[in-house]
Amino acid sequence: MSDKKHIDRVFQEAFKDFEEVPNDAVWGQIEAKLKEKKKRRVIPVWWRYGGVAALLLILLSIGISYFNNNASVESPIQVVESDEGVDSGENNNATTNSINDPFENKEAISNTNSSEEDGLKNTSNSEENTTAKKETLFNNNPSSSVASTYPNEENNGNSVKENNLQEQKNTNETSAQIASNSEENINSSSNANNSLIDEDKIKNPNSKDAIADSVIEEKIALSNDENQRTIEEAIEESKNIDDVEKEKLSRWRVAPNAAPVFFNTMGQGSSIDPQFDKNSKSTETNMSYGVIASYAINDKLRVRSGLNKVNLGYSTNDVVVLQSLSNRSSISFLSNVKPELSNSSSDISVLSSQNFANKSSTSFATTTGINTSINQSFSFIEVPLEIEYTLLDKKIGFNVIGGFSSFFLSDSELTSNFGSGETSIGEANNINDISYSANFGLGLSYQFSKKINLNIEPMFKYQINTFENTSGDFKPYFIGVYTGFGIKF
Amino acid sequence: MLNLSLNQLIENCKINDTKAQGELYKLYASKLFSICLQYSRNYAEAEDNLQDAFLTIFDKIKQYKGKGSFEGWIKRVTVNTALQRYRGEKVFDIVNDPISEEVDIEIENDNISLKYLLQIIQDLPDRYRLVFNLYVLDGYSHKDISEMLNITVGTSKSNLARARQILKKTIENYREQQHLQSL
Repeated sequence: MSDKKHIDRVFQEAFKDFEEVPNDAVWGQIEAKLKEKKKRRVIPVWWRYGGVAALLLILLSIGISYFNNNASVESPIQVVESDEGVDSGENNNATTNSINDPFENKEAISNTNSSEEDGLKNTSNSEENTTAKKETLFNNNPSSSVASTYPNEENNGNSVKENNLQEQKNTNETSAQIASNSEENINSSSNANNSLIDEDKIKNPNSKDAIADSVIEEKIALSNDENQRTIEEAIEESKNIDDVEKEKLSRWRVAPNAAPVFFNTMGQGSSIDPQFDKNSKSTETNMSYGVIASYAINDKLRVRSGLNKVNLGYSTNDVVVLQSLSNRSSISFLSNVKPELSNSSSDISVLSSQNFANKSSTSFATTTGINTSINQSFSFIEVPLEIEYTLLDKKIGFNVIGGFSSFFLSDSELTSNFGSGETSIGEANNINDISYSANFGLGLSYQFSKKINLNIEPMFKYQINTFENTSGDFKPYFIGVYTGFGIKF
Repeated sequence: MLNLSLNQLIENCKINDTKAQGELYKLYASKLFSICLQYSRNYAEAEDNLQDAFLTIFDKIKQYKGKGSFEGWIKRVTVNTALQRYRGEKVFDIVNDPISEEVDIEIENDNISLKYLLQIIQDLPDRYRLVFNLYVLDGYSHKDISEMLNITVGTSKSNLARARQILKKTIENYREQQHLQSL
């Protein structure tokens, strides 16, 4: 009988040095997954950026339509008017008050008035009739004055006060007019019945005066503290609206742009064939054009994306282009070029002139070009995703830009100037369909108005993963000076 | 490759050097596979867990800053891989009767084959297996286990007691059968 042991001990001792070699297939699977991951990793990151860019564009378009809709709802004049609508309620009350006053005046002035009641009825009726007109007149007046004050709010306050002062000056004259009006009204009422007030109004030219009077009276009422406050409030509100609008206005910006771009490479090397590594290369100036949309995250930072069409190209100099009449030339074709099969001319060979000197013993049927150049050009659709940091935001703005671009190859060609004019040699087969670049640059802007500014942005774009089999130290980059007008929403 | 120091190997793995990753696998596969076998339900799932564990290790190796032993780190990653797989699984045979926490569960110390012991661990319900492994074989405290499995300390304790009871019973039954067969 063996001794008893705690169950934990039994297991602990048993598994102390437990090791088991797994099946080799496990490593095979891990390796396969690692490779898959490596492959996937290069592209998805950039697809993700592309996705972000696309999302930004979608958001942008939604944003634009949204803000456009909002703009019509929140246009400043309408807001003021709706405010006045609320105010007009108060003002109407004030109006009735102020109109009550003239009655008292009338009473005071025309003590001898025999038909007080008639006069009261008359004026009260004309008051009712004119209310609509008063309101329109009244509404027009302050709304236009407040609206006109947008450019200068402080002046606005002054001008309103001045108006009020003028109105107060008018009050003396008004009271005199009221006296005469009421007399005439009384006369008319004694002549005609109260039921014919409308007719009376039309017939009686004084009814116009009555309207004018009541308007003036309202203005007098406006000069009351209460009304002044409402105007100040309105101004303040309009200020607030202005502020809100300022914020909203600068969020989105769309900038069509065009840029001359200079393609170049750091270090010696060739994207075409190793034999051209040491050949001199001359850059070409091409064009890039597109649209960039940006969104301001805050005062300083903007995220931007868009679409650009970029054409790039460069020439490799000191090249010998041969056209052999025999079907196969002794020299193999360029390593990174897929020859043009439909080429009408027979086999074309391209050689570095140095190589040509070495091999000159070989006999060629025809030489068509010596010391010419071959020109490689390619175009991309570029989707940048960049961040703009504002350093200076005045009439003249200054900012720094950094980010990435994804490039989608749309065209590539290799041509040479030999024979008569430009001849296509083939298509480069080592340009990746999707490549990218690291971007940085400076932005200068000049504001024409709140909405429109001119941008000049010298950008440096270091290309990554553009070519597959480059020889030598071929590190392509390009510089573009992007110029365009930005329109803010 | 053998002359490469472990640190160099780790550094190479950080830059996704496939060769270094292969070396690292060779170095630790059997150790980690034993863990996987203990924590998994069966051999096939242990292989799956080993694969996942290594993929996680290669993915997260940049986060290993040389603090603590590397072996400890990869073992933790492996255990966590298994926990992730089984943690969410429900314990169906929830036993409500209170378990007397007999700490002194003793069995006869015959030579029981490792293979058999592994088999009966794998046959335990998921939660019991995890708790038993964590507590008995890897030395985690009930508090650690409660955090790792998102259960209470009490549950961890009762799961462990339950696991021990099941294991004891299984072993005793096994013995009995063997005894009968030998007769």
